[in-house]
Amino acid sequence: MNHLAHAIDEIGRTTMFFAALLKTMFRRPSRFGDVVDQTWNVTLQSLPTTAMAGFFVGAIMAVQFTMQMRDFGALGYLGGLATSGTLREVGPLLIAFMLSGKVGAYTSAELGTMRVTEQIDAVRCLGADPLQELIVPRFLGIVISSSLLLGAGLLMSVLGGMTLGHLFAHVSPEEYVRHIPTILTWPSILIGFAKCAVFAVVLATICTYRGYSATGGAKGVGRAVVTTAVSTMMCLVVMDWVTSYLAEAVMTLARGP
Amino acid sequence: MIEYRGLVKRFGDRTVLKGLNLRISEGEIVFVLGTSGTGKSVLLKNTVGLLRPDEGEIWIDGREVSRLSEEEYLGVRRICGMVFQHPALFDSLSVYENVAFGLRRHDRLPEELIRQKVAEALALVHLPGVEERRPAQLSYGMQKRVSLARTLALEPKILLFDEPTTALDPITTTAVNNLIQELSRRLRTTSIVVSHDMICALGIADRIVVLDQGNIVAQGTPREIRGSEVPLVQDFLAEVPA
Amino acid sequence: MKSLRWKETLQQLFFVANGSGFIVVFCVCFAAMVTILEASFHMKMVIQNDSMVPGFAALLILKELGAVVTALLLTSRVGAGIAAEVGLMKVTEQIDALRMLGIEPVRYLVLPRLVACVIGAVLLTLIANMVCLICAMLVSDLMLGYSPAMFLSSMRIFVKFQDLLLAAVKGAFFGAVIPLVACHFGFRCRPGAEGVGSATTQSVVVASILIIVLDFVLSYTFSYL
Repeated sequence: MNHLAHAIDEIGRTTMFFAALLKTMFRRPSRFGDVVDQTWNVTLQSLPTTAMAGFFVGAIMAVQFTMQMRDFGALGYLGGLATSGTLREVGPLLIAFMLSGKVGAYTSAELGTMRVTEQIDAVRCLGADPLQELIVPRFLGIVISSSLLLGAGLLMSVLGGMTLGHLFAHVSPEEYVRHIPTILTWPSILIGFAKCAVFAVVLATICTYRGYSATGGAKGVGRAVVTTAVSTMMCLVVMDWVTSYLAEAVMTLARGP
Repeated sequence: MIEYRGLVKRFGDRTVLKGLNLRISEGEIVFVLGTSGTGKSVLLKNTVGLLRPDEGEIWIDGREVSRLSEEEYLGVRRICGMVFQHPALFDSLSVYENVAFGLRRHDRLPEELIRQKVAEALALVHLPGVEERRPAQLSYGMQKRVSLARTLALEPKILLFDEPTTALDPITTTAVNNLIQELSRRLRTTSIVVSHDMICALGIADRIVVLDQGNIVAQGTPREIRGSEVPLVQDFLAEVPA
Repeated sequence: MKSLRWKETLQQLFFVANGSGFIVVFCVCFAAMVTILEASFHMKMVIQNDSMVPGFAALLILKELGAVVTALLLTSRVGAGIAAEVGLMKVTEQIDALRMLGIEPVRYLVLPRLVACVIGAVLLTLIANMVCLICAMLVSDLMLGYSPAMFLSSMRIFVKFQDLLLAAVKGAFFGAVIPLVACHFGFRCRPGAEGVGSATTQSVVVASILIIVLDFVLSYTFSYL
């Protein structure tokens, strides 16, 4: 029961932190330059890993779908199914997992280090608001760049699927691309990118909160990093389901009874 | 200048400060001594509002500050400079930007004046001309002095030092202690130094306060402390050459 | 065999398996729900009904999702934990102290963690697959109206016993990657809070990327079995 109470406690704290963050963002906007700097940093750091992860996720899905569909002689659908499946579910989730390791862990380590070496206290003593000065620029930077990175990762996954479709299933790239629109509709693409945006917000909130509230020296920084990655992943799977479910509900409504 | 009345601070079920009373007058250099974990740093952090007391009052410059909001506290922090145990310099900024940080946030000054004040502050800590370096390029002792300059740039009336000489070599320790004395006299600031270094406390303090488990067990001028009978003070004095 | 240090290995195994069990089960349950929803969505598009969803989804879970999701979770929990722990030992000179006592730190620290992680990852992968399938079964019963009996008989057509074994093999490979990468970065940790932070971060990133690449290589290889 203690664990459950603790978990609920943490969820509450994170939500309150998120609220404080939003309030600061609108009441006392951060400097535009800081946000741009952060966005640029995060994007540059993580682009290669994200692109690589995206490519391989696409490749894996193409291999799996090929194996399942070969028996039915339905390889023509490969391009559509693999792309749609990757874009709507597996892609965003796995790439976001990657980013929670890369961006999330990095940010919480950085902020945690600033916290335990008293830099955050120093900011307050020198008359600035650490939320406005440090947290909001990072939060916005991560939200913007993670959305972009996830998008880039998804594009790479299409490329990965196409490559493996050619090498493994002997579906030529033209054939592969030609069949994408038969399965992949605009709503699906929208859902994929909506997921990316939601994941980006979850990721940014949790890692800034964990780093900001770190305590206890080098050990505390290590602990902050571990809890960031784990709690981010747990939130991601939940949000993955929530967005899929909501999207399904909205689609049903749109189609009419 | 500063007065603590019945200050109580708890962390969970551990009470760190147990109803502390202390009065510090203007221009005094007060050393707060005690073993690790007796609430010395907590006292300083309560003074600048990084932590808030659970009970009691803190009076600074004739104003009760412990219940002020974060916004109102900015005025207190303006006159109350804190030098942290770590250098706590911002790694991503140059030395110049680090020292100018507080000036930019507290007052809207023209760049020319900021440049002048930064140069003055760095000269005070005997580090002229390091403006364009990065914190990582400086030795630990130099980082500590830059951190002091960052606080001095705001021309505070009160200076709080959190273990200023911990993790420094003996020679730098002496240099930093001399600096504290020199600056306090020259700038006429009130200083509170948290430390466990009895030798330098005896050398430069106007008054020494010894804390044990959240209570004051002894206080007085260096001469009075030397004659104290309190066991903890005796232990501290044991390391001092006669 | 003496160098393996059984007690330490068992303690590590407890940390890996028991400590991560809940998180893995929790995450995998949600992944299963989404998989079923999405599989049904795609099936309806291609063949106008979703009768083959149970089989397809089960196959996808067994072959990919169970192992990869488990491994990525272990990377951030166990891998980051090991990197932080070893990094801290390096920073506080405990590793030098071991050397002074005539103990080879690599064998002393890495081997128990490696053995524990491989065993732990295989066990967790199997558990994750099981939980994931049960969860998928429940979801298809509740949301799509396929009874567990229909789910199981559809699964029997698609899934071979071999698939379960291959999932375990994947788990073993991933389980080996995690402690090796984590220890590598832990041993090279630079001093201070910053060093520990960056060692932890790097180990998570490198291990996750390696897992995704390795997963691709293994899936590709297994497809010829």
